[in-house]
Amino acid sequence: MMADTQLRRWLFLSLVIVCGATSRLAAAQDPYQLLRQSGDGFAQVEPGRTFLFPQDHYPHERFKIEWWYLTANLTGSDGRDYGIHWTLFRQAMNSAPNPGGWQSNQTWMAHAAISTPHGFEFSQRFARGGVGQAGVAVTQQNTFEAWMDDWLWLSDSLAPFPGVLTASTDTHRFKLKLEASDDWVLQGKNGFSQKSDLGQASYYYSQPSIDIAGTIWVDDAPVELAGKGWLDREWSSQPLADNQAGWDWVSLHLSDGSALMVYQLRHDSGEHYISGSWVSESGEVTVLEAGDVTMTPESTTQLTINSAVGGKQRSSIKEIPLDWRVRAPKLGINISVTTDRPHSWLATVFPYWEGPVRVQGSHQGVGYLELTGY
Amino acid sequence: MTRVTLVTLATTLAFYRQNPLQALFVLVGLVLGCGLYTAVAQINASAEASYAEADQILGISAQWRITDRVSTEVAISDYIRLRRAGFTHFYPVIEKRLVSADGALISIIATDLLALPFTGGGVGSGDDSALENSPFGGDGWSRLTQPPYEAWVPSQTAARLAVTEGQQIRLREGKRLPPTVIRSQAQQRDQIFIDLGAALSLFETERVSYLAAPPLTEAEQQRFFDQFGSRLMLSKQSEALDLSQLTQSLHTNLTALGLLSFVVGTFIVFNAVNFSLHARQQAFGVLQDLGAARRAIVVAIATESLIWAVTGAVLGTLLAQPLSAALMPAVAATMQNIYGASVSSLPMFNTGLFWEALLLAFAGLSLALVLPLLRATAMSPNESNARDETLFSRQDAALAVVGLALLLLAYVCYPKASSVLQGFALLSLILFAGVALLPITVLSVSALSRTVIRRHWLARWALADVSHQFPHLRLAMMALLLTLIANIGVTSLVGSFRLALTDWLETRLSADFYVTAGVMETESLVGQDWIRAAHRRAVAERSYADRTMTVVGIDVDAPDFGPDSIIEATPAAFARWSVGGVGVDRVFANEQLKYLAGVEVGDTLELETELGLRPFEVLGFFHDYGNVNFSLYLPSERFKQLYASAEPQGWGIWVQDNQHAAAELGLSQLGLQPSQWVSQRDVLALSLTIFDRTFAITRALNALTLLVASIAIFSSLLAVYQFRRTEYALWRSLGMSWFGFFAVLGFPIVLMTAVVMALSLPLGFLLSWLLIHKINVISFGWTMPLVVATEPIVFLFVVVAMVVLAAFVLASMRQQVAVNDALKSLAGE
Repeated sequence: MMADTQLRRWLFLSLVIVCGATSRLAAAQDPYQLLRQSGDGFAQVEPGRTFLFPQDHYPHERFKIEWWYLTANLTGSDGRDYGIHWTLFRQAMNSAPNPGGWQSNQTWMAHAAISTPHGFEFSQRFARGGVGQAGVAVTQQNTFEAWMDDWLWLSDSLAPFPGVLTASTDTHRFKLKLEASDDWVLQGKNGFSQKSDLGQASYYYSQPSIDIAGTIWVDDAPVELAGKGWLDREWSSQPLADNQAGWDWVSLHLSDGSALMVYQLRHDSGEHYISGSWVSESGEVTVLEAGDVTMTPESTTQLTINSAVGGKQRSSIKEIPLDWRVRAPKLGINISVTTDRPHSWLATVFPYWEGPVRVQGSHQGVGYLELTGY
Repeated sequence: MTRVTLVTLATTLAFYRQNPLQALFVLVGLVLGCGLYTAVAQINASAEASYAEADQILGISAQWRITDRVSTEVAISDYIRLRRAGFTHFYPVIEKRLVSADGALISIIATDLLALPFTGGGVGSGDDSALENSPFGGDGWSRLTQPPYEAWVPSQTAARLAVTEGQQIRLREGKRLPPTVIRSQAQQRDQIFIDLGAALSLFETERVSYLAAPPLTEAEQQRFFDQFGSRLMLSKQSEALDLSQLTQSLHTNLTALGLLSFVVGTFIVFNAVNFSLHARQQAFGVLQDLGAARRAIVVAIATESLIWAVTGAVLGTLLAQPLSAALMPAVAATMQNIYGASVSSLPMFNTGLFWEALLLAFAGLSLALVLPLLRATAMSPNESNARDETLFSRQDAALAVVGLALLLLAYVCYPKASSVLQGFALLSLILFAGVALLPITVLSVSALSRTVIRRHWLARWALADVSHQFPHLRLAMMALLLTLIANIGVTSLVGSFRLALTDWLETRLSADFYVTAGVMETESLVGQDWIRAAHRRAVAERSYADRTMTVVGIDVDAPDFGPDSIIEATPAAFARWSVGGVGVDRVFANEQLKYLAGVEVGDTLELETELGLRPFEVLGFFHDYGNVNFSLYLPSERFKQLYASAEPQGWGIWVQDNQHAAAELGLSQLGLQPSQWVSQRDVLALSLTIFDRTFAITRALNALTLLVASIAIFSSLLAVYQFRRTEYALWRSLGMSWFGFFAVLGFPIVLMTAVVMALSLPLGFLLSWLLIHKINVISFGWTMPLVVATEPIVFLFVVVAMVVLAAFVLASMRQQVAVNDALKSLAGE
């Protein structure tokens, strides 16, 4: 373990040195500054883009940042609730054309997090692009593949579904079969998802209805799982405005078969930028804008965050809003979103809270809540 | 402390105010002794700290190392396969030791920082500013990983190589490192870090030196073996990588030299203290008459020594800083060249060392004080002088017995010494036996000479004076003897090693050119009339007795390995090796196998080959200097059958006489770039330069101990003259000429120095023989013939003679003035 600690210390030092020279103090204090940095030189997100599938399932290297984001609410053969989230982030380090190979300007980061009745465990990985260690690409068998090391999403076709996702954390691992239709939900205005009145935006589409079956091994003990998942695909060159501290995002599977996604980007002024979508059971999409939907915290929870820095343990207290009220009056939605898994903080390089939630009120249901910038 | 004690202390200390030179000698002895000891301790601590880090971080650190079963390097594609199979704690490392265009040694380490084991658990809580500086932020990462890349050079390395920020270090073969960025971090030591991508591009390769991994569970090891065991090898590098163990002998050697300096420093202190106590005897008597108890005098002197010890330790520690900083690069070079270990070239200070120095100073001072103090306080000045001679005679006889006993003990212990520490204990026995035998030898020589030279009155007087001067100079001569033995021992060792290494390198590098692997096919060489011979070796790595075993395929007619290269062989070994054996393969082994694994000529080893487990009969041994691994030489034809997939190394090309220019032209015409071949003559010259640089530390410490010994002689001479000043004044008043005066004073010094030199020769050779045949074998597993080179010893003796002469002249000049003053005072002027 000592060796591990030393290795981490080496990495930390290295990371500090890698970026220390150029990072401004403000950036050093807020990891999300990356998302606020100007995307000059990169391709810009503009309205009116036509989405092409399966091409858009693959990387858009001319944009600065991109992610493949899966969350799943699952029930185990033991009758208890399990939550899984797995993400793959791509970042272009500069706007120059990608030389590929060991000179690639693409970097990858991946997170796997597993919420079980016994606790929460997550893992974070990094890899450089171009060398085969991570990426999203077409396999030699002409199928979709997204991977980092041995974390692998491999499908039977050029689209992500049907596919199999295998990943792990330190003591848990899972293998999930993912099935969904080819009906993709283009968020915002035909996939143009505005994040601020200042023009920040992303291209954003989702698959809110993924049927999942599989197995999770908790300390090598298998538990069969089944349930619903949600995939978000998003790419941008500057998703956050300077005056936005972070975002609150929720994706919910409601008991009537519909799906609701709402996010709000928190402004310093207190007037948040809110947006969302409601997908009916039949697949009709209703775009939700300010005035259509509200998302209000009802109470906050104090969390003790433990982290290891250079081999030293540190603790800090965070005040996180884990109970929410979501209202969409036109859709007759007035729900409370709560969690019984408050300890779902990912103390990663880009830290955030991401965990399974329960829906009560006008609708019942389950889903995932994501809170960043706290 | 009572008022009486304070007054006593003030009175005793007043002596040093009146005799600043004496104060200087006490101080010089303590400061030099403590300073050298602390400097060496700091160097050792710094190197050991580097090893401790090396065990835990990059490169050699990793507890596990993954290598290719057949190639000396690992393909990047294999690394990616491992990562994709879930071995996410494995990371690639390129390590190279190169030479800059200026001939400076450069150690390069490259890895993929993002691939280092990183569990992510608890990495960032969002409130830690250090952690947000991820490669996902800023453009630092792209500067490191994309052309023109960056070379992170620690500041001390940059100073050594004289490079500044932005400069590109040019390598010997013409390539340039990425622009320098001066970065210092503890774990980087003296290595230059570059990104793995930059290294692959710079070295034009798709392979890395090895993969490293932190601790692996048994299940992980088994899974690795099941999935990759046929192609890759997982080894826990306890042997080559346990640097602390591997380098123990060098550090023990350095510590021994440091302690030797301290011992010699203590001799200086002893003389100075002895003199100061002697000179103050009257004052002590007056103090006692005035009512000061003997105890108060003892307490005052003890307090005085405490003050000296603290001053000596503080100044010694201060002196140690520039001294260790000056010596450390030489140690770092030694580590790098002999052990392949990268250590920081910055010495490490810790407060523990100061307390150690203080303790040592106090202990040394106490030792130096015990005898003089007992005498000074127990006897009157007259008694003291009267007893001096008888006391020393008895002591000398007892010492001679001790000396003989020590030699006997060394003889008995010799076969049993099996560790570096025991080996050095053996050396100490020899050193101290020499010291103990010195008085009786000097006095015997003097007595013997007196029986031979009966007629010449001046000569007889001078010889008689030996027994008067020797008691005062005894310790200084002992110090000189210790220094000379150590000097001759180490000089002979280094000289023997240099000669053996030169011979060995001249054979190993007998080819005129070495062409890089993979750039020239066999067919290209056909019909080139400038070629006299061309051969290449092939290498496969296996494991034997928990150590890496390199099996090398060699052409039987290659000029760089022949019958002359074999030591301890069976009859007609080379011929039998060349034709091979039936049912058993015949090999030559490096002598490391003999000394470290107990293999003898005629033994059979079982080794894994690509055709399964095979027996190998050892026909003889060969020298393999500097290799920490085992090695077997197998005829290349047979090697190709047993290790079919092993890649051949580069070509060694022997050129026809006077065809050098044609050869270089020929190589160019074959399409080779100048960077793809090297002249072996340059390599040989470079190797020897590196060798000399490596042993710079030994030379520096030798010179420093010699300096300390010289000061000991000078201070002793001053002391003896001071003691006998009245006597000398009497000689002059009786009409003795200055010539006669200096002849009587000088001859004993010459005789004593000659005896010391004569005694140091056999003991020095004995020491180097032990260093070569005991310490070297225990530490490295190889030995070499002891070669006695007269030139450095003559040089050493000339230096010593000049130093002693200078000390004598300096002391005598003071003496001449002092005797004149004494005469004037006798005459009542």
